[in-house]
Amino acid sequence: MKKLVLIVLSLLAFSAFFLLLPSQYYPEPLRLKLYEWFGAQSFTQLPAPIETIVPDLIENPCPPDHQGWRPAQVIDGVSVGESKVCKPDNPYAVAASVKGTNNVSHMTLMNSKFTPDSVVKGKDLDGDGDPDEIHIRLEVIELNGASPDRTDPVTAYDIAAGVQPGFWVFAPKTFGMSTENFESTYANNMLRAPSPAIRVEQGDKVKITLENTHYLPHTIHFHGVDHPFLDENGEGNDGVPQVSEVPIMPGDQRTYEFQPRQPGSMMYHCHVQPHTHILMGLLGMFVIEENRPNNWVQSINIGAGHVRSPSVAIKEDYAEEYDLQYQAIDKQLNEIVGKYNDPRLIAKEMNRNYDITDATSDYYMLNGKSFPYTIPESIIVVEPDEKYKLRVTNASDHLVSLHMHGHKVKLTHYDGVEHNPVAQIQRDVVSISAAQRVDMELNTTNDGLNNYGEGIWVMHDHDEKGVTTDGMHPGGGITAIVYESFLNDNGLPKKQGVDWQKFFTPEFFQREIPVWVDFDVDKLFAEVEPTETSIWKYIFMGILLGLSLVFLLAVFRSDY
Amino acid sequence: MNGIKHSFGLILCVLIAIGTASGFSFAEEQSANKVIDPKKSEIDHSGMDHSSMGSSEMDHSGMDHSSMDSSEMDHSSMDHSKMDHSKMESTEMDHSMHGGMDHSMHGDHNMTLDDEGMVMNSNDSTLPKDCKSISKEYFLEVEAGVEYAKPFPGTIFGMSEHEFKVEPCSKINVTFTNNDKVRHQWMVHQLPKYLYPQGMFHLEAAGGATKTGTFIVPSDNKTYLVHCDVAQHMEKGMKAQLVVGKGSGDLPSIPGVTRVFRPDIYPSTVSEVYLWVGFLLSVLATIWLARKFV
Repeated sequence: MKKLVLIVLSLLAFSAFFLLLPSQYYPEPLRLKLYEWFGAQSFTQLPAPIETIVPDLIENPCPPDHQGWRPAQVIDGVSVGESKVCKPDNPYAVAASVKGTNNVSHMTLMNSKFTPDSVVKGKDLDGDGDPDEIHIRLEVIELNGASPDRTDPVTAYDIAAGVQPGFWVFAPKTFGMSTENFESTYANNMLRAPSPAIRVEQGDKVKITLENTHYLPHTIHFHGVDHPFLDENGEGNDGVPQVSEVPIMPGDQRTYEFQPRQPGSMMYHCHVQPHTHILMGLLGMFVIEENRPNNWVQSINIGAGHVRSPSVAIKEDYAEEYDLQYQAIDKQLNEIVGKYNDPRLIAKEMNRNYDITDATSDYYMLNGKSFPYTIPESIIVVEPDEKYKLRVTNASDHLVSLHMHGHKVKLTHYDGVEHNPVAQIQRDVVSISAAQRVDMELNTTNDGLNNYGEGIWVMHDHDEKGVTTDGMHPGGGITAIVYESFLNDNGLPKKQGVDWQKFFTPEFFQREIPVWVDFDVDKLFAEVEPTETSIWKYIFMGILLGLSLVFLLAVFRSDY
Repeated sequence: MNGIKHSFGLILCVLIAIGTASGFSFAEEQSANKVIDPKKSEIDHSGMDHSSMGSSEMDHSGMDHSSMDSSEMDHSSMDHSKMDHSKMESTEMDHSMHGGMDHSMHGDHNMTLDDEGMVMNSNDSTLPKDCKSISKEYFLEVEAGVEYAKPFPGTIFGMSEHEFKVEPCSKINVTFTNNDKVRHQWMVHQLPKYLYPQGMFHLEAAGGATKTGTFIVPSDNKTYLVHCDVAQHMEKGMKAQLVVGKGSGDLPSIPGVTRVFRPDIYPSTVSEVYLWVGFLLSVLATIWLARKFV
């Protein structure tokens, strides 16, 4: 008898709990039965939409050009072309890269931040009016690294608003602080991703010295560049630790020497633990320009992108030249340098615990930035009826399927080797495998094939992961081919469509802003107001559930 | 009899708990409590390559000084009298006068830059406002390089000394020698800005080079940060402090001087399973006691 009472009590408690649940949780047959018995329930409002306010921007994404870096100018006799984008390259750094840091005025050097021995240009060996002895010094810089004293990343670098993956980059040798100033933790503008594009002339006697300023060992391998396996002293010159040379330890340096006989778009990258070091960012473009008289090439292109002082050979055939480097990075890999400060723990985590075969990339970049940060600096500004040289490198570990709207580009060179001119093909999706370089001719003639007219034609990896930043679209390496008639004076495209403010906020990439917020005026797809529930109701429901269990257990303890 | 048994169980639990906790802190104590005097530590200098010290091989004959005035800057207010044209490889100029130039990158500094490095805001004569005279003169000889990191596991770059103690209003001559083959810096921050633009005194020595500079500290008791600002060099060991007078408290994470402020979590000699063993034992003991006495 007592048992029966207990069972009934238990069932009652459970039923009460069940009835308090929202009807969505009832099993389907029960809901159908209830409808059969009682008919439709009376109308109740579904949760209301709530308004999301896009935060104001702290920084102007397209700052005014106070320093006068955008216009075409002549610095120390070097003609630096106009940069039509919001954030132009420092023209003093361009001039020093062309003339050599040993040949420019002290003022230019100070404004460039190069040390006097960063890019040394020596004798004109073939007497054709340009220097043929080139000695470039590179350092290794960590961006967004750890500190024993603070939790935020040091030598900070944003690929998009609030997105700061750890990077290692080759950087030209510069003087002074690595940050903007003492108050700032942000890296100065010479220290950034990707590793700078390096340019020399065919036949130059090139020396590249790696001064290892980083806390781990590194080397340089000149991928695709004509170089001997051993240098004149019998030292390894290929950068491969297993067969060529012991890596350069922290605080040490090594000089690589070669005289490339063939021109073309090549690369350089670290060959120590390449499965992590390359993806951490130690890869840059290495361009060998064709030999011409009076050919002063821009030996360093900071952050790749527009070449403000193109070579003689390029100017013969093209209006402008662009270096484009696609890159991808895995969160689990790049966060290691922010997680530990002790180099022994970093080395162990990177070399032995991290498993690249389980990896997926999270951040996709073009020239070290993700959309929308690609727009102020890496758009391709064009005019109709011209030809543009695009040198595209894939520094990621996936196949880039580069698609450009409004154009079909001609593929002229693969890995620095010219494709048979009669067999050159035109594509609007270009497959670029890992480490591959493809030279493209962008022809802006409106003939329905090369181009369909003027506009803001986006250009992006059609592997759709590549247009996201940690899965948030729009992000990744999206950029655009922008016709001058569609460009504002400040360098931003005269775009139509949705408002961009949200894309420049960290909240967007933290997934806090509904992506259609600006044009969804009726809040059709807005954030949903949470259902109002009392805490006491939840506690009461919990008690009922508990009671039903207690009564059930008591059945087994009762003696009757 | 029962009471003895009870207390035995409790003591066991407590002992296990203490043992587990000490196992956790063991790795930390090892590095933190042992203060190593950098002067006493034996450093092997024999492997150092001094031949590379004069490594600059640059031709400055091609330097175009005529074009200096052609750049689009306001040179009208520039003080050319202070420019040393006789020494082409270390052109000195007074940058504090450049009103029309945008110095957002390097502010207004008295700076010399050459193949061997850089000296910024060197001051051997102007007294800080609060000093009537120079109280004392110091000659600090600091060396930098990876070999000075060896006494401190977990660091890569180091300095021969990580703490400098001076009198208020003293004049400090620093000779900074870089034994590595990459750049290093000896940079002091938060000096008075009216005397040292951006509050900095800064020596940068190229690989194998030596740089010398002088500065005069103000009268207040203060501890200044001294570091190398090449990315990650401070974080990986090149951090020191300049204590003026009594100082204003030690800075954290200085090798051989103060403990790392946010140490990494290091592996322990004892598995953390023992913590849970201790926890389980104490729960069991509590239940046992509760059943006996309640």
